[in-house]
Amino acid sequence: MQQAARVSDRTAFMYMGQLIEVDDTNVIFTKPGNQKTQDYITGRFG
Amino acid sequence: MTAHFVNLLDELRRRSLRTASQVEDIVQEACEAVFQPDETLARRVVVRDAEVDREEVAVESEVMRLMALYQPVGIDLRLLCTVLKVNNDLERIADCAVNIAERSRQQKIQPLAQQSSDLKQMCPVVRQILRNAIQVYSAEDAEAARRVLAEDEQIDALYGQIVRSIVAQAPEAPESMAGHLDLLSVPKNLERIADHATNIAEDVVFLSTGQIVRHQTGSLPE
Repeated sequence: MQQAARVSDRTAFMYMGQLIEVDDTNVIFTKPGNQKTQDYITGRFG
Repeated sequence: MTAHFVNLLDELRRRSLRTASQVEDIVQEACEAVFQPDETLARRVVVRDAEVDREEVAVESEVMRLMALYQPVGIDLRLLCTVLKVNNDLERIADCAVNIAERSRQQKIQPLAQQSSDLKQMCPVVRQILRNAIQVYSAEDAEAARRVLAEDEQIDALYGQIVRSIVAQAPEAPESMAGHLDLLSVPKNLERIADHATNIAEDVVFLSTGQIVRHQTGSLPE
C-alpha cells in the first residue's frame, strides 16, 4: 500500500471485485470519502 | 500492531483533552485574579502553566514517535496533526492566562477592572468560547465547530469597546492612564485566547472532514 502511495498519481480501492473509491492518491490517503477505504488504509481490516 | 496503534492514539487523544481541561481551569483562575486581589491565585496560574509547558513537549514527542513508527494515513494522520496543532494552541492559551495573572498583581488594576462592565462581560464569554472549542474537540463535531468559529466576532467587538472607552477616559483622568494601560493588557490577552480557541475549532473541522478552513473570509465552505 505504501508503494501505491509513493508511485501513483491516482489510486483506486477495490474490495471483493467492487470498485469502492477512486481519486487522487493524496486524497485517498489523507481524506478518503468512503468509510471502507478509510478502514482499509488505516489497517482496521485487511 | 493496528490494535496497539489504535490504543496509543486513544491514549494520546485523552492526554490532549486532559491538558485542555487544565488550561480551561488556568484561564478561569486568571480571570478571577483580575477582579479580586489574590497573590496565591496568580502564583498558581504561573505554576500550572509550567506543567502545561512540560506536557506540550511530551505530547509533541509522542506525536513524532507515532508518525515515525506507524506512518499513519487518513483519519489517523489527521488526528495526529490535529493533536499537534491543538497542543500548541493550548500552550499559547496558558501563556496568555499567565500574562493576565501577572497583570493582576498590579495593585491599581482591580478597582479599574471592577469599573469596567465590558471587561466583566468579556471574561465569561471568552471562557465559554474556550469551553465550547474543547467540547467540539472532544466530540470531533465539525458542525458544532463551525458554530464556535462565528462566536469570535463578539469578542473582537468587546475588545474594541474597551479600547475606545479607555481612549475616551484619557483626557479626563490622565493620572489613571498608567493603570488603564496595564488593564488594557487583560482584554488583549483574552482576545488572543478566543483566537486560539477558534483555531482549535478550525482544527476539529480538519480532523472530521479533511477540509482546511483557516483564513476564510465571508461564509465557510460546507
